[in-house]
Amino acid sequence: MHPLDPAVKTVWMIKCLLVWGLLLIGGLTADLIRLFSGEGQLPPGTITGMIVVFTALWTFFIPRLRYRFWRYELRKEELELVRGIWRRVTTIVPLKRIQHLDVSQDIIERNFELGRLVVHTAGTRSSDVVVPGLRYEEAARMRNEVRQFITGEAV
Amino acid sequence: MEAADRKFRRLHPLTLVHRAGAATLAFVLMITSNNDFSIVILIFTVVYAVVLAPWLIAQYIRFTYHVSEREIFINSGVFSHVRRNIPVGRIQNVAIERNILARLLGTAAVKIETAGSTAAEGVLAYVGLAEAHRIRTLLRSGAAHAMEENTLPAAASAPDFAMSIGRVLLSGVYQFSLGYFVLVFAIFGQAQQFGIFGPEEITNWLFGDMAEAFIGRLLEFPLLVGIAIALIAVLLGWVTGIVVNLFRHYNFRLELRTEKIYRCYGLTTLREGTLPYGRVQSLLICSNPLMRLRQWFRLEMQTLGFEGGHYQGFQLAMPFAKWNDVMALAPRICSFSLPDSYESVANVTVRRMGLRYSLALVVLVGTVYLFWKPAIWGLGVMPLLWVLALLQYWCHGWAFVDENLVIRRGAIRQRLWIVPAERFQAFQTSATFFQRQLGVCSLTVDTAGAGILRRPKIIDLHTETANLLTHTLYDVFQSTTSPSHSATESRSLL
Repeated sequence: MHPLDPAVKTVWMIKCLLVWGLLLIGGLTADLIRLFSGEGQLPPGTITGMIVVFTALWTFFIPRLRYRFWRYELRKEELELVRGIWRRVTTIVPLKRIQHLDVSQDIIERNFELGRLVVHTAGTRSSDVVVPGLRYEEAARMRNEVRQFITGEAV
Repeated sequence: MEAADRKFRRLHPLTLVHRAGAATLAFVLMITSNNDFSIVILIFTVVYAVVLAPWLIAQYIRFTYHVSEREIFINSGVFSHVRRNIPVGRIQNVAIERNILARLLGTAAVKIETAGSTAAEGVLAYVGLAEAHRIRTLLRSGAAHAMEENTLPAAASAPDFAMSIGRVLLSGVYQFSLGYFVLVFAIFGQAQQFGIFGPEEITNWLFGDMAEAFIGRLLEFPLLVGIAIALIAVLLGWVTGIVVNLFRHYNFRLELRTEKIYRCYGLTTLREGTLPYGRVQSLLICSNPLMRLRQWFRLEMQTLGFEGGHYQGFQLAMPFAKWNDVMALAPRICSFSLPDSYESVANVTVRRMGLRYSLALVVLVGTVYLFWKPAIWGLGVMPLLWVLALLQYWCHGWAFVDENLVIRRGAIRQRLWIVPAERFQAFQTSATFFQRQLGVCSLTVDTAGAGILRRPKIIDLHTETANLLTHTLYDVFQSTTSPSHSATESRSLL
């Protein structure tokens, strides 16, 4: 089975920073309010400090671990994915069950020439199965392969 | 313009009463919820008169439809004009729905559903009842496969399953749900806000001055009051459940026709609709301990796209029936045979679940303990949790017979899923860190329209068994869905 493109680690790290950055703003505000109102027993900057440490640890470890456990393979009749740090999930999507499929790319991914393959089935739980962190050409190639399978089957 | 008028029809004029009725109700609520009669109300009144009423009329005028045997056209929209046409071939279901107002006014809402969308794509609300039946007949006669069952619905043939009023009431007695209890409280709260009545007003009205002395005495025994309140809440929830159930399932009828399943039920809102067999994805048989005492069961069909969206993916086939009746009817909806025995899952599941429940209990008790010391006695429940884990292990089983995956799960609320291999959508195994240490994993087979909470899942299979089963399921799935296997597949595939 194939690993994802290593550049996806950087993409995930940037996204982690963005998400935790929002929390950091909240923490900073809370700390400033505490500082000026003079309330609270904790020394100033505790909340912000905790968020910063947590963000640093999370951003450093989680994308690496996530990358390490991500595997995918597009076979003749099915797409198989294995991923998950705590809960290891293996999904097999039979290609004939695919309703439609997209290749998408957000602004961060574009900078790294990465893309993601999104596969939609009629199922509830796996109605959209996402393979992130593919080279954009690779995602497009996989899409074509799946499309060929679906249309070839239909004719 | 002349030609268009001849071709396109408007909705029933009483539609305005329906729409205005809802709007007026909202308006009245808005006024009553605002205690000081002031400028705010004046503004609302003006808005209502100047904006809403003309808007309703404009909407009514703009909304026209035309039904032919081939297609249905709907023009709508005041500012943005929408022209929708739905070819008869794409129509999955035509439902006629009548709420209490509609039945008083002699009108009906026609809901036209197609595949691919969960909501009805064409809603004609409201048309006259005769017109509703005309539309349905017309659309049905247009749909080639519905040719032979183009008879008028209801009462024409004997139902395959029907519930008398006694049976409906009985089913309410057996089906206890805390959800209704929450509903009762919500209504109470709302009523109290409007100052209509509340628990205090009721007690005052019942006992008068005695109430205060009585309540004073009661407060000396907090535990007793707690138990009494809990009992009253349970009783209220129970009674509400019975009433709601009566309103919903009154006169439930199910007919298995040649092409479609026909259902009709409801007291104030009469629901009737048909469902092609091809849209049934799996069957689910549920029961609770009370029901099992007397061998009562409930049969549900998991469907793709549903009639009116009342049941999220699951539609009732038999709300309350004896096991033998369920077993007689269910295979006619989707053929299957139950296994003689079920395979067990790995017995480490008892340990895992027992530990999980115990941990949850410790966290809960610990939190309450911080505020209320006697909570520590709650830990005494722990052995019961282990018994529950053991019961769950005993009740959990699976079998794969005749291309159907059968899964049985749940100690208290028991569920039995029957999933045909040709309905599989995707295969998933998952294992948490602890499960990996114990060498087990959970296997889920995804199907279209399954709920998140009630999906067929085998928990804690040995990893090798799970891999083997996945392969077997996958191979059978591939062979049953291959074009040569059967022609039904193309229809069932959305």
